[in-house]
Amino acid sequence: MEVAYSSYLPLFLVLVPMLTGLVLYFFAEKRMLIRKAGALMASLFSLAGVIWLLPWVLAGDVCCDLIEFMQFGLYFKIDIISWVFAFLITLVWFLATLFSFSYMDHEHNLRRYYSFLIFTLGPILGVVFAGDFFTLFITFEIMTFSSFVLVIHKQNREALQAGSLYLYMAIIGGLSLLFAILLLYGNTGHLDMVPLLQEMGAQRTAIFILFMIGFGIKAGLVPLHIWLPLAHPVAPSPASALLSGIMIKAGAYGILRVSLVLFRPEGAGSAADWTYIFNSGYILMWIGIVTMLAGALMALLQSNSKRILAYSSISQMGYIATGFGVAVFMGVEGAMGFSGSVYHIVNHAIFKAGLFAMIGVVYMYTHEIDLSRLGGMIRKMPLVATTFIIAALGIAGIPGFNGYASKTLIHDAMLEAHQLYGLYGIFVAERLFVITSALTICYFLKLFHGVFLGKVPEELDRDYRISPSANIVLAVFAALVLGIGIFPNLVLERLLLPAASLLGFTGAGMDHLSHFNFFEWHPLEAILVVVLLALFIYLPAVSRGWFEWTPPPWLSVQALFIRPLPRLVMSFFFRDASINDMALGQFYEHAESDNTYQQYYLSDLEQEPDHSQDEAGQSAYCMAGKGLARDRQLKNQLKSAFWWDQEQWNIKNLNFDNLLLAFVLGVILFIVFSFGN
Amino acid sequence: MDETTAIAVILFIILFPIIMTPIVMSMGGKSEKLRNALAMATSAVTFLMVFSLYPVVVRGDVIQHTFFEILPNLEISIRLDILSFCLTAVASFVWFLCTVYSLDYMAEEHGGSRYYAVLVFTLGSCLGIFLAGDFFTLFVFFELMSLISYILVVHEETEQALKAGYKYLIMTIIGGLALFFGIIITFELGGTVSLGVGAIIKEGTLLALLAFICFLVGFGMKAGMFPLHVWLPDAHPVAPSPASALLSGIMLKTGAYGLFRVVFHAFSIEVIQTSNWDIILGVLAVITILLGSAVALTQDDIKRRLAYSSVGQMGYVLLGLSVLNENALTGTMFHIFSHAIMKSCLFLAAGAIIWKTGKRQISDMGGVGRKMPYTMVCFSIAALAMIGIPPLNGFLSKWTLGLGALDANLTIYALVLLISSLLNALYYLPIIVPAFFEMVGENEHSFALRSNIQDVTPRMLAPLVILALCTIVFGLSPINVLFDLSRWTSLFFLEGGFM
Repeated sequence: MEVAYSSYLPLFLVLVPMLTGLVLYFFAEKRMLIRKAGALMASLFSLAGVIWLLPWVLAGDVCCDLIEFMQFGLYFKIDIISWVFAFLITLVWFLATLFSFSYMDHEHNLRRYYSFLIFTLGPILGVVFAGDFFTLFITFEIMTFSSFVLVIHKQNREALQAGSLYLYMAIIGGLSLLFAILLLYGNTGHLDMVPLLQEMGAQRTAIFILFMIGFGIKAGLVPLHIWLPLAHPVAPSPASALLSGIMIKAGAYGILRVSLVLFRPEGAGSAADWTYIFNSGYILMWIGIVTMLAGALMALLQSNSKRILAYSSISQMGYIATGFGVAVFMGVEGAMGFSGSVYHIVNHAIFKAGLFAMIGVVYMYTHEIDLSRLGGMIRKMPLVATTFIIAALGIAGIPGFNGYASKTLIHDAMLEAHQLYGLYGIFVAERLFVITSALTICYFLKLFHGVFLGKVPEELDRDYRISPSANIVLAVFAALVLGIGIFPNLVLERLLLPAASLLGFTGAGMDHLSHFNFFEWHPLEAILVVVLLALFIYLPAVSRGWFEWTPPPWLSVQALFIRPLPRLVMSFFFRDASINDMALGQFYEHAESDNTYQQYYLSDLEQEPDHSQDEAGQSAYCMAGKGLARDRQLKNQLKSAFWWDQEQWNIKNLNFDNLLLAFVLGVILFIVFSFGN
Repeated sequence: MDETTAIAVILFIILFPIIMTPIVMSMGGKSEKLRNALAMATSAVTFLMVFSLYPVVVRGDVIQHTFFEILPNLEISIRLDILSFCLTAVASFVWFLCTVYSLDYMAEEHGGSRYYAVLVFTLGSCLGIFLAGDFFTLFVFFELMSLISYILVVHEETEQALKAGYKYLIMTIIGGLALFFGIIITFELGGTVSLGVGAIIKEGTLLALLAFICFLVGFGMKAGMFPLHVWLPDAHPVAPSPASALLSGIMLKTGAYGLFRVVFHAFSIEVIQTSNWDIILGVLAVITILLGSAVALTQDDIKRRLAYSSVGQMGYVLLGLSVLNENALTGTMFHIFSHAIMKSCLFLAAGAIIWKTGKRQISDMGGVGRKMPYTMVCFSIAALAMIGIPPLNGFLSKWTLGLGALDANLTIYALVLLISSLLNALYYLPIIVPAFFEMVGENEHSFALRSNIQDVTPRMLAPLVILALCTIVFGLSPINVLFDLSRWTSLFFLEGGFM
């Protein structure tokens, strides 16, 4: 292992944007200059800090261990893979912040926008700097919540709906991630990003699936992608650029760390372990293939330009997942697939952020996003059109532009895997890869044709003066696409080879990679096939209007799974639960009323003797009354007989005094008797 | 602080609020200001005195003192150990904040003198429960608190409140009787009910099971455990908001505290585990969690939703108590702290919204976040903590509980915790998101349209802000006093420190 440096710089890089975001929120809405300067300075600081780290990272890891924070300790560790991601993030973030200055000027609530824009940079850097899965999870969750505010910035119904879908999916993803991490910790006792396959035991499949769900939702893998085509287009364009360019890469980064680091055997590993790894990688590759194909097909059928880009992101994430899958199942030979995927992450971040910015410029001036109502912009915005062509050629994988390098690497990795294992499935996957690449060209032809070619609609026929800062940003994106495209070996040798050797890739794949020549006939031939196939699909499709076909709504993943599922759960679970609860409440009330009834019954019962006693008393009274009358009669008779006996002793004449007298006598007698003994 | 002083302080903590009650009551006629100040001073002094016991507890001392015996072995006594201290501290702290909040909240309500007097008295009896040295004393204070807090529940004297209060009263009496029966059986079997003796009942006989069930009914009733929770969602929302915060935040915890004492003092881990009674508790806890969370989803009245959420969250505490290992107990204890902080913050914030706007329905609350930003931000922080979003304290308790469940190989419990988190998200986020992000004109009932609403007064805001800050500090901070206390509590019990 290489040397490890201890430094607090990673912590600062995470904290400074977050604190800046918080502080900026407390400036008044009007102080735009401070806000812009603060946001720019914070993103520039992060960019500079990340570049500053490069020499150290090349020599070894930069670590920052915060024991006791959150009780389990936060731990940041930057190796060369993290650095590539971090550099990409800070670079694109800086450009997007710059782009926001012109784009956002006419939007509302800028205070919130800039605060959260710059705040989100912190946790996303934390995700790639994280040295263990606990830290990764925490920063991942913070990122989810702060980016939510960017998604719903417009606050109309559409944005809120998309935002809530995004939020709930992200929470489900976060919880499955949490569960995976808990299981991992429960089984192995630590959470570091080191190979742990043997220690995980029987639950490793569950852990793998949970991790894939957690990161796959963020990365937009089919069928967990449904939030993405809704949420990315509704955000303001700079935010869309970051969401599509950067934030879904957090998911890809997680997949990388789990599939290529965590699920590796420590040391050589047994044959059973490698079979397990082969299977999981093979499945991951197929998920990637399905994702890229589905994303490309859906992109072809859209008419909203930002939605085309969002589906395109899904499709490109499919490429990345495919590359990782190939790298996983080829074991130590997987250098090609790995570096191809990481390379594609870099390239995709650049051209997709650029494309969103370009469509954003068109939207900023025309307020139009639908292909059917746009057209001819190449005459109105020539610079935007030029940069768009460059970025589109990049994503299409034309030699000389950056996408070519990464797609070639992934494609070659698949060919190599086919040679090595001879599986028919890999052959099919490779064919589908070629078809998807052709479809990619098709939907970009459609997009370019829709926005920039054709007639300018009348209401948009005016002069546009595009602000210089926007122009600069677009030019930088285009320059990056071209720069990497012309010198593809630069990134490969300086960054990807060290990264690949860090992950322990060796063998023929590594050899091949270190002497890879992008501009020889074999890869060029492949791209030629793709282009011809694309034209073969595009021309008849356009003339027959295949791309205008809208799939029936019941066919979407949303209609098939996502909508019925909550309803099902709702009806089976929540309703039943609340019915049960109500029933319980009623049970108690019944018990209470039963109880009351019983009480009445009891008191009735009790009153029964009362009544009888009453009646007995009544009759006794009656009798007594009769007795009295007879008595009086008798008395009168007696009176007449014994006239001298005026005061005859009778119980009625016994008054209180006599009683008291009797009582006192009794007490005295009692005392006398008791003391007499 | 030596032991005699500590005993004096403990006695003071219990008796001072009770002595102050008639004074507060009688002051009401003369000067409302003086009465309020007295009530506030009482809770503040009590809190400070509790705080002064910290060094004793950290030293690891256990103070057990008997004043006199009513019958042989049936005594009136006090006890201070780390568990008592934890609950006493959080109770007196939240009580103080709620009293401060009441000053403005109750200013225009009727029956202020009665309210403050009862508030102060309940504080004393609540602390008496936590500081009782044997089950009998505990029972006496438990009944005192339960019965007196009835006055808080019915304070508004509406028909609804009286009905809910009646339900509360009946259930409380049933619970008290069950508790009394349990104590009698314990006395019969063990010859003592003192908390100074660990494991009073040493065998899991049928009679012991009966005692366990009686305790479960008695304390579970208070803790809102399924199926005895039915009084809770009625009684908590009808009380005035600061009282709801105390009912949900603190008084529910007396049930959990009692079960702690039952598990470790009346019985022991061995008895509970060999007789498989922990499964009874665990299953009830799982049902409580899922039912509370699921039913909360269907409520539209904000306070009712919070009350059902309390049911679910108390399920976490019971779940941790049923797992009985170090992490789970730490998680339980920390969740008692977290829930006290989060839920009182939520109830106070909801109370502030209701007080200002007069609306209780969640569907009417769109846009409230822009009118009352500070209140709603506090609400949001506490609600996010409730969902378990890092780096807030709710995440830490959930994480620790999950680890505890996995340590005991009970993966299903960890799954239940996560499902419940999802449900929490499903019922808290629809309050927060429209409150901040719903646009004017989207909903005719939303009072984003009405412009005359402002944030509440600083005196009402201060407790909210302090509680919201607590959720952040006790989640993130490296020097987390509450977490350390929780871990010590758990170690204290597991290593037999209760002797």
